[in-house]
Amino acid sequence: MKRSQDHSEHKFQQWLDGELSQAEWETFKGQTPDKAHLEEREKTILHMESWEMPVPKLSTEEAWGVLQDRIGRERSGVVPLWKKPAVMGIAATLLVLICVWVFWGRGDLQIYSPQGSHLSYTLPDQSAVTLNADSRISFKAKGFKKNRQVKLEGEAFFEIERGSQFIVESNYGTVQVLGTSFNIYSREDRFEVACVTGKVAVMIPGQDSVILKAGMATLLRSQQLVVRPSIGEDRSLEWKQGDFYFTDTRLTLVLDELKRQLDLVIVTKSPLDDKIYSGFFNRNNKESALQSVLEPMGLKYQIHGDTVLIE
Amino acid sequence: MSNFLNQADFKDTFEAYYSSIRNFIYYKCGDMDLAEDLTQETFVKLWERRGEVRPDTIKSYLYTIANNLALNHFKHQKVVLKFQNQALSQSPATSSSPHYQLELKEFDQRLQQAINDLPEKLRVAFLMNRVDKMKHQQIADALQLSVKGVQKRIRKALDLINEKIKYRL
Repeated sequence: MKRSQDHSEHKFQQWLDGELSQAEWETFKGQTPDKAHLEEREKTILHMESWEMPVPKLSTEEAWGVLQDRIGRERSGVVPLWKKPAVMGIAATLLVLICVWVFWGRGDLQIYSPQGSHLSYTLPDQSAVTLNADSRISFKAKGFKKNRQVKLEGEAFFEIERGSQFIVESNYGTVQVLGTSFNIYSREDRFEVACVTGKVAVMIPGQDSVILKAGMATLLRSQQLVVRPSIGEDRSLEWKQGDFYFTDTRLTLVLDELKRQLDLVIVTKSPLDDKIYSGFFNRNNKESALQSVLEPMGLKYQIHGDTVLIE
Repeated sequence: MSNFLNQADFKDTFEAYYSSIRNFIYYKCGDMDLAEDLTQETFVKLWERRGEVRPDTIKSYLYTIANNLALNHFKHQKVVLKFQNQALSQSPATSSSPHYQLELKEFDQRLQQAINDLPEKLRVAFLMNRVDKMKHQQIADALQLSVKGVQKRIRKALDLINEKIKYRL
C-alpha cells in the first residue's frame, strides 16, 4: 500500500510541476487505487488556476522609481536627530549614570559598555563616541585636547571634531584621523574599519598604512588589509539602531553578536561546523532575533529566560 | 571588485525579483500595502550591501531579508488573503445553473478560508507554487530547502485543505 501511495505522490508532483501531460495524468489516474484522493487534490488545484493576486498600488516600474528616490535621499547625507550634539549630550549623561564603570588608574579614564547595552559618550574635545555592547575605551583625560589618543577594545563609532591628530589604538592596529566619522570593529580574529566621512589612515605594524576616504572600509584578511567600498552612512548607523547585518559570516560569530546584544547565554548541543549565515537580526525583540538567525539555519532551539539551548 | 553588483545589474535584479518578493511577503501577512513597503526595505538593504553580496546568493539573500523584515513587522496575527477568482467574476454561461454558480462560490470561499488557516510555512510554499507558478526547484532555491522539502510542504498543505473542505460538507 505504502509503495503505491509513494508512486501516486511522485506522479502527482510531476503533474503539478508540468512534467506530465494531462493525457498521461488521466491515464495514470485511471489505473491507480488512490484515484479519489488524487481527484480531491486536483479539484483544489484546478479551482485555483483562475485565481489572481490582489492589485498592488505600484507596478514594478513605479516601485523602481520610488526606490531610486529613497536611495538618492540617503546618499545626500540627511543627519538623523540623535546625532545633534545637544541630544547626544543629554543621552550620554543619562547613560553615564546607568551603565558606565569608570576607573582611575594611572590617570586613565575607562568607559565601558556592558553586554546588552550601547553607550554614547562625549570626549573632552567634544568628539563623540558610541560604544557597542561589550566594548571599552580608555584615554588620559588630562591634556586630552592636545594629545587625542584613545584605546579601543570591541566596536565603536567615532565622530571626531576638527583639531589635533586623533588616534585610536586597538589590538591589531591604529587608526589616525583629522576630523571625520568612522566605525571600528576590533574583536578576537576580526578587525574592520569603515570610514563614513572625511579621511582615515589605518596602520598595522609591518605593513603599508591604508588611507580610507568616505565610503570605504578595510578588513584584515589573512593578516593583510583589504579595501572595499562601504556604501552609505547607514552601515555604521545600523548597529546603533539595533539592526545587525551579516553576509557570508560564520554562524559562531553571528551567535556571539546575539549573545552580546541580548545578554544571553547560548548553549549548543551539537557542533555548528562551518555553517555560514547571511541575513540580519534586530536586537529589540529576543524571540524575533533568535528566530531570524536560527530558523534559516534549520536549527531547533529552546529559550529558558536568559539561556538558549540549541539542538 | 569583480563580484560587485553595479547599478545596471541592480536594476536587472530588481526587475527579476520585485514581484516575487512582494508576493512572498503578502502570503505571509495578507497585507498588500505592508508587503510593498517591506519589499522596498528589502531592496534598500540589498543596495547598501551590494559590494558584499555574491551574485549566486542574491536570490536567497533577498528572501532571507524579506522574511526577517516580515518577522519584525507582523506579529502572528490572523492572516486574511484575498484572491480574485476570474471564473466567478465573469458572467456565467447560460448553460450553467444558478445552483452550480452558488456551489462554486461557496467552494471558493471555503478554499480561501482553508488557505488562510494553513500554517505559514505550508501556505507560503503552496502559494508560491500555485499562484506565482514557481517550480519546485525555484522555490527550493529561494527558501533554501531541498526540492523534496518543498514538495512535502505542498503535499501537507493540500492534505490540510482537503480535510477542512471535506469536514464542512
